Amino acid sequence: MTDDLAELYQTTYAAVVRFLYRKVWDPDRAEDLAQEVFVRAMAHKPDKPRAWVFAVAANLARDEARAAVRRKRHLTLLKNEPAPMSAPFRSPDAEVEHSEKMTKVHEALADLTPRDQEVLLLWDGGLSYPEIAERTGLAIGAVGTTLARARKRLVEAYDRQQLHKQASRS
Amino acid sequence: MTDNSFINKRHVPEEELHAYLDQALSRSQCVEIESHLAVCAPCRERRDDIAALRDRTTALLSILAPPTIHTPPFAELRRRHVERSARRQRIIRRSAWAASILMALGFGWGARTFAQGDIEASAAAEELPAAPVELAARHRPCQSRSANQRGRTRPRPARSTNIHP
Repeated sequence: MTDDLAELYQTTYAAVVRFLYRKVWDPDRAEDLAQEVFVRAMAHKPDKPRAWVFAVAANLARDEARAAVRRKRHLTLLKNEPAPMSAPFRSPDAEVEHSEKMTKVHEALADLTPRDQEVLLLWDGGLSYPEIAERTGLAIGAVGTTLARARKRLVEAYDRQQLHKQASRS
Repeated sequence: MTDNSFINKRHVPEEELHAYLDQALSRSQCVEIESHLAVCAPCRERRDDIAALRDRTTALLSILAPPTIHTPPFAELRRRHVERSARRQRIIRRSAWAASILMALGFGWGARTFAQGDIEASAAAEELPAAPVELAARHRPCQSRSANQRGRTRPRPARSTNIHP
């Protein structure tokens, strides 16, 4: 069981951090929460560890967001913008461009309904359709429909923002 | 063959193409879809569009990621888990100690109260011959009260014996 969990940790840790980052928008906090998820998994020894890990990650992220809003401590969450991050390997221009892209993708993601967001992020985290269905309460057949809609809306929202930005520049 | 000819007549729904590309279908469903795609150019075109949409979504989401992800060694997490379990055990043990001490104190207090009550009762029993009326009154308050009440009642006037003719 511990070996299974160790293997899952090696293969899934980064995906869980990305999943959490897209919910709490703080890289350090995302890593802390991801580690907390795996420490809890050791205590609980879940039957389906992969789905369990993402379910607990989603719950922790929700609790974190609630606590942050309640205490008015996490300003980036209140402003609904990603936290500024240091990327030493990028040039200043590339950093600005990356930051702009990130904001646009974040806004495009915020255009999606919470259900579409959840399904898309779980799929990107590597969960299978049955695992997503179990987590979200959707029928397995509905996962494909939701995912199709979410992908289309994300890309459309992002392209709209690109057009809007080009129009405002010209 | 009949199944294939049936499948070849209808186009594959969009969500099924997504599920097909996500490898979320059974082997038999994949075979059905592939046999349809082999003969249906519009569905092949849609499959390519959906594949492009899928890749684009993945690329966009990959932008939303922390710049670096430091994966601590698994042993570090295991150490945290062991520490946490030990802390929880300590708390449980201390709580059990506190509960047993409280129970012992409560039991002791109860026993003392009970014993004191016994001593007072026996002392009262010993004093009973010295003041039998008072003690008897104290131990039978209802009777004594009714007796008092009886004592306080005014004597009724004597009923007249005159009988009117």
